[in-house]
Amino acid sequence: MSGLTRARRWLWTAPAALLIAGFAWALSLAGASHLPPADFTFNNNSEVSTLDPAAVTSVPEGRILRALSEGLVIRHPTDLSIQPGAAQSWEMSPDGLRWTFYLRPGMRWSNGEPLSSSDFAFSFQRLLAPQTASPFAQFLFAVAGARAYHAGSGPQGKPDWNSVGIKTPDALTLQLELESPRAYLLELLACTPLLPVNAKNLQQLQQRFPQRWMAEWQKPENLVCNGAYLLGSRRINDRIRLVKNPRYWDADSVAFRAIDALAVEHAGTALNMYLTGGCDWLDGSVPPMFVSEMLGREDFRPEQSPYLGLYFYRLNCTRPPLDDPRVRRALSMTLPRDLVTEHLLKAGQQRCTTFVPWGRLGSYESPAVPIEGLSEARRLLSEAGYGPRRPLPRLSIHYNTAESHRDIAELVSDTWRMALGVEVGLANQEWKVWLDSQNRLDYQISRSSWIADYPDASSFLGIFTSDNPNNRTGWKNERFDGLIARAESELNPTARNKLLLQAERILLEEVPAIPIYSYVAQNVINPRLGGFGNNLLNEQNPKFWYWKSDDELWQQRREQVGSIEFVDAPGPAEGLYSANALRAQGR
Amino acid sequence: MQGFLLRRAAWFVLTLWAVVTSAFFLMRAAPGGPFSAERGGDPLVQAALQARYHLDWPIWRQYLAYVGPFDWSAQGWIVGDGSRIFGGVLAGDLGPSFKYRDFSVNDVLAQSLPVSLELGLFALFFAVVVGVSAGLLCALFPRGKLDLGVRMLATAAVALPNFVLAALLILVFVFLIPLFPVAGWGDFAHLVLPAIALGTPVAAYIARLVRAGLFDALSQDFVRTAIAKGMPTRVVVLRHALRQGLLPVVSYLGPAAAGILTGSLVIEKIFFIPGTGQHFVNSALNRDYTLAMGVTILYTALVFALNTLVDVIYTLLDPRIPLEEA
Repeated sequence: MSGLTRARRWLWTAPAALLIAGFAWALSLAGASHLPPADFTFNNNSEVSTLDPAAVTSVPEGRILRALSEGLVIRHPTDLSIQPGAAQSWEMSPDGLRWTFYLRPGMRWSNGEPLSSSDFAFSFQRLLAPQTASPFAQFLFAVAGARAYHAGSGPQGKPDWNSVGIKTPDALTLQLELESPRAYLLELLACTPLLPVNAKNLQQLQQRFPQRWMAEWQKPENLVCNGAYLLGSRRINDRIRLVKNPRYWDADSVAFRAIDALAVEHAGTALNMYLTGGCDWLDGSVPPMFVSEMLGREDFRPEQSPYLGLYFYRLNCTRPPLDDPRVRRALSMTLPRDLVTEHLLKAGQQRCTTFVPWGRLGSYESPAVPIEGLSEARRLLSEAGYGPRRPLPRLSIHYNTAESHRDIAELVSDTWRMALGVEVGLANQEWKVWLDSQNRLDYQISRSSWIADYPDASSFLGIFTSDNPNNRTGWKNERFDGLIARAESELNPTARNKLLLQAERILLEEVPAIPIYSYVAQNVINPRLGGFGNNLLNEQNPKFWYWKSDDELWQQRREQVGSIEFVDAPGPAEGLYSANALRAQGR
Repeated sequence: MQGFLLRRAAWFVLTLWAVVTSAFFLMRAAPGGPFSAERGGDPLVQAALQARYHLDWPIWRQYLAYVGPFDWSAQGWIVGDGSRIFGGVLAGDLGPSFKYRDFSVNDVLAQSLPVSLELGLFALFFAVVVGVSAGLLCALFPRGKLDLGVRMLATAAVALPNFVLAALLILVFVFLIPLFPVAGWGDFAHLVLPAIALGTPVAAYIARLVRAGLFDALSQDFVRTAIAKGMPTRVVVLRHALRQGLLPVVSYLGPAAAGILTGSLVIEKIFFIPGTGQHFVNSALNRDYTLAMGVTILYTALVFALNTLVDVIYTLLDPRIPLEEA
């Protein structure tokens, strides 16, 4: 046997050895990535894009941020009323132009540094700075000089922070001077874009990593925050581990020591995980085909959870025939909203004919919309010059690819064909393409939805002003713009509601978009979870969560009325309460 | 051997360059961009975001800056907050991810690739062991009931889409017989069902290839000669015939391994596994230009490396095949 042959025979074992070694390595890795189980696990629906408060736009991101950071004020978990957060009190000058916030003394960042009003001032400045490119900079436009600062200009033609009405008289006082009063300023302050970031930490990282600070800042080892939880670990498309922050001022009210936020996108997988005990809360992850099966269980009560979201069709008001408000109204009148909610969605969503979902919000009530029939719609069409002899030209409904959108569009198209004799085609586009065509007004009828940033009617009505980038219908109305602008700075609730009502009347008259239905929150929740906020924004503050003991669980079950199927409530039988709750119980 | 590897390396560089260039321009040609979102369409904000990631540059300049530090005018270029983002692919820096903004593409791949490799290696191991043994059994007992059964199973396994198989596995081994967790990543138990779902079609394919190859080899003269000379059947089958019978399997395994090791979108979705497979599809959907480029480069490199390995193994299995022509 020659040396070469021997070498060849030996070499032949190399790939096999490689495969076996790799396999052994794989086994060793499987053990290494194991985390101890968290007290509570929920599905956050998708991977977060960023945890930078200035850049956050989506619901999943907001959920994590509210655990990590605390703003000046927070919302009550159930009624959403404004509660003290980092600020223990505040006052507004009688003219509504000057707000003073008094921070809690003794608060600390997670790295032990004291938290002061200048941290908030820095965060607000950062939100406004043009290079931050925050989509929510307009949240602070009510502040004097803020708009100019954001646009990169100021009194002397260049941005000057001193000209912006955000001042810190002392370490515990923050003052906001407004250009005009804002009735809902506190609502804005409770939103995620206005959460604080640690100035020193961010600046140090920017110095240390001038090129890649963005990829370093939000790493668990680098992030400094002031909320009830810290960033424990983070793996893309897997989970974010939140760990209780011992330096949080109200740490004694926090029950869970560790929380996992999963990024399960596949609804079936999420439901499987919930049903096998791998997850304690799902938000909207019930596949439509299982909704009927899940209804009636005590852990799925969507009919009791109205949600401030509106499903609607944008209409392109720049192109015939939809440039005629009569045609738009006729289409709106004949849209089969009841069929959509009762036959397709079935989870308690309500038909909606107003631009504020559920027709009311706080003290605001939308105008009543008379139920108009087919004959009125046909009359409007013939007034606009369309009838049996000259039918409406072909229309097209444009939606982003999803089964539910297609089903609704098919139903609507069939109904319009039968009622008004108009041919309606369907066009589906992949998400980004759909966004692009909507932005360029390259559509006739476009599927849309809107979710409130804060619980106020202006959050919905305001998107239809001429200069709002979210308008995307080409519709412009000066009177409407004027009414919204006046409502912005009106402090008297009655007068303000009146202005908003007039504005919504114009929308109902002009129909730049067709409201279809109001959302419900489709939470699936382990019945043992306490402190869960069943509220209009479906906004949760993990600080309030805890496990109920068997006693508390059964006491609440006994109070339930009607027929409900009780389900398994995994978790500790003695519950898991915060130190403060235990003290209150006398334990 | 060295000459062969050097030539391969040269081709590798050329291929990679061609892939990077065409992918770069194809990505940018798709409508919509990484920052188009349902809200925040404010032109000022969009412009500032574009500027931060240099998307406002002419595309050739973006390309040069992406591929390497060719853009001399950009040296010391300061955008807004003092960050100059691209180090260039030549420097091994794949840039920041546009979708996962708190991560660089290198970070994203460093997190997900070990997961996919781990799952892939296990699936591959399963596929090779099951596939080769099934093929061997069939070839040794041809046209029997065993042969027929295995072949039918193999045909079914190749035809069955992996999401159906995954659903079946979950139904049986999670809900009917609670043996394994339904989804997730962390324990060895999490690995089993997805690896079987991922490896079964490959195992079936390998079984068919081994059966056919071995069947062929067993009827050849050198096998008959070896047996006639009194060599034990075990040695004839395992050392001589199988070596030739494995040739088609090896050439199939190269690209198949590249596919398995980089993960599968469907399996990762169903079993909630944080691997690389989802990034292939999602990065394109999100218009995450840099991440899409990153996974493309990764896949190209892996396919190229595995194909080279296949060619080397070829000559080891059958010395009559010269390396140079491969």
